[in-house]
Amino acid sequence: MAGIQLSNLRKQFGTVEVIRGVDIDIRDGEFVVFVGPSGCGKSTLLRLIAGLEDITSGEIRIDGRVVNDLEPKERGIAMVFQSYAIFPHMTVRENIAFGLTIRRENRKAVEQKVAEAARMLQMENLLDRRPSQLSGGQRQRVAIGRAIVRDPSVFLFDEPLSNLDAALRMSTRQEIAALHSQLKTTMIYVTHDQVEAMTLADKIVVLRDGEVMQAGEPMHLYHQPANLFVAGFLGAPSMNFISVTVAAVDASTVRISAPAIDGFAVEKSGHGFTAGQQATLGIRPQQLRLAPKGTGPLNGRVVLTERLGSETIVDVRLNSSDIIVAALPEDTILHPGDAVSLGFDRAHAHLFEETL
Amino acid sequence: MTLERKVRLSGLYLFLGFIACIFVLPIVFMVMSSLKPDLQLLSDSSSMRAFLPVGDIGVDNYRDAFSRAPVGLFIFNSVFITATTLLLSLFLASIAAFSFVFIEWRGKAVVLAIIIATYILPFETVAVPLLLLVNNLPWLSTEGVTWGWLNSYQVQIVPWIIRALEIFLFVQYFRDLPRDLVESARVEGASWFQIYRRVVMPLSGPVIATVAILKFLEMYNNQFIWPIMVVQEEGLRPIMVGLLYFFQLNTAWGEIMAYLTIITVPVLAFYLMLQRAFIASIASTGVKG
Repeated sequence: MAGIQLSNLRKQFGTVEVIRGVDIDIRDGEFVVFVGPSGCGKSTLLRLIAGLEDITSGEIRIDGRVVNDLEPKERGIAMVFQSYAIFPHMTVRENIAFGLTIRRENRKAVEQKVAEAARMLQMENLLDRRPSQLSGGQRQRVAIGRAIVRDPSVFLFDEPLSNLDAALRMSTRQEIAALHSQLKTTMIYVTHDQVEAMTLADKIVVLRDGEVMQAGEPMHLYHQPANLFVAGFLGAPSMNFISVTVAAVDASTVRISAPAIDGFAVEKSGHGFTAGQQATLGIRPQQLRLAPKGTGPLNGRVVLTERLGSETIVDVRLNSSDIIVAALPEDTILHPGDAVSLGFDRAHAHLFEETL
Repeated sequence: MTLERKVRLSGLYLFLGFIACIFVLPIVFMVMSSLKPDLQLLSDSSSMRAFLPVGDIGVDNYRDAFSRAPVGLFIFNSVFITATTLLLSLFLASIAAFSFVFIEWRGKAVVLAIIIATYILPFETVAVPLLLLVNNLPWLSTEGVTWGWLNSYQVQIVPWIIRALEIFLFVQYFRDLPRDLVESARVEGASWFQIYRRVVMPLSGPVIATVAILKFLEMYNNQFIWPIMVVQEEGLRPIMVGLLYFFQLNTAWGEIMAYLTIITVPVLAFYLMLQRAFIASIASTGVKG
């Protein structure tokens, strides 16, 4: 097991800088998820840690040791690829044992480790099959098995679930979570799926354009997003944003005004807002509640309703013509064109200095 | 099956049969002619009898062919030269291509471009410089270091081991292999050579078969001018040079046909052995043999 420190890490491909000064501290045994949209550099970051790409500048430490110039095999890592990357010409057994046989480990010990991994992943009966005879989920488990047997100090997962169907994705996600609690090994997991990030991570690192937007515990990021990007990226449906003007400020509250919501105060202590400044109000769809007609700070008409069973998602066009999304209880019955008033707890409203 | 479909299929098979005939008939002609005395062979050649085992049939031409030239020795020479070149070619071309595709090193794009550019040079352009070169190269043998490679096996093997085409075919094939496989092998701790031997080559059956067949045909069928230039000793000559024996003094067509039939057998055997992989690779890469 090992902690990982990335210091001012940079990576350039030609003249394009894809990783721009990343600093991340990963504790021993932590499950860290790198999340962000396509092209944000999360996979590149993982490949830099694995040693599959050379860094341009900065420093990577694994278990206190600088590994900048070490080959992947010298870093004590195991990696699971999005495409599984299991060898099609070898049986499952040979695939799992590959890293061990390369190191010429004792045959008995290899057999024992393979059997143990197979048992842990419930694929004892698949050992003599070839990858072409396996389903996607089984192939993914072979890839995980190959990583486990080497007893690495760090596991790297590069979007391991993106080729699986929804049901399998959920069960494999749970298996990975169980694996982490069993092995207690440091794991770094790359995904663009914020649900995977929220459910698996001890710590989430949100990336955008090669920079860390925010890092921290999932619920911390969810409740206290540092910026519009993180606020919009985590949570489904996405947070609603409304352009506002700061009307007045005091020590603990910021009074805002906007065409949609006049004279509304948000509690925000230690803020740096000044009166007259443009800002953005953020409200999660789950925080919105139906209020008696005409009383809520947000008034408008229903545009679309989607009944998901556990909740009803309602798109509302405000009188200011902004559209906001509300996640309402499942028994809410509304129809397009209905006039509604929406209220929310001001303690749960977010105010960002950035403008839309 | 409807009548219309039956008719259409019959038409298709007739057409394909006709095309197949165009390729097969010369071989049938060769084999049939090898069984006939020269006079009959020449008179038959103006009619369909040329393709049929009719008239005075026998194996005299084979006996005469063996007595006119050391056929067995020529076949051995050709097979030995071809097999050695082929194995070395497969190994060196694939390992060069592996380095071009999977290993990062400065200037590899330029080097590859230069190698591929040499493909457009016809052999005739380099024949004389090559002759001068091999005439001045050292070789370590049981007699110590000797200079000049003329009259040897190595002079017929070494210059032919690698040509741009083989490297190019391997490069193209390797580029299509999933990179993740190589990277995961690296993470698992495999050295470059282990990745080459245990991951990349076992997955390269089609391209190995393609290169093997192309190389075999090049070495076995087409080695003519170069051996004449560099080998005077009869005991080292390949089959195609042996063909000249049958045009000396009086041209014996029946014996030529018998000789050609004999030397065609290894080609057919080799092709049949690799046929499946060869067709698969042509179908998948679009490379024409």
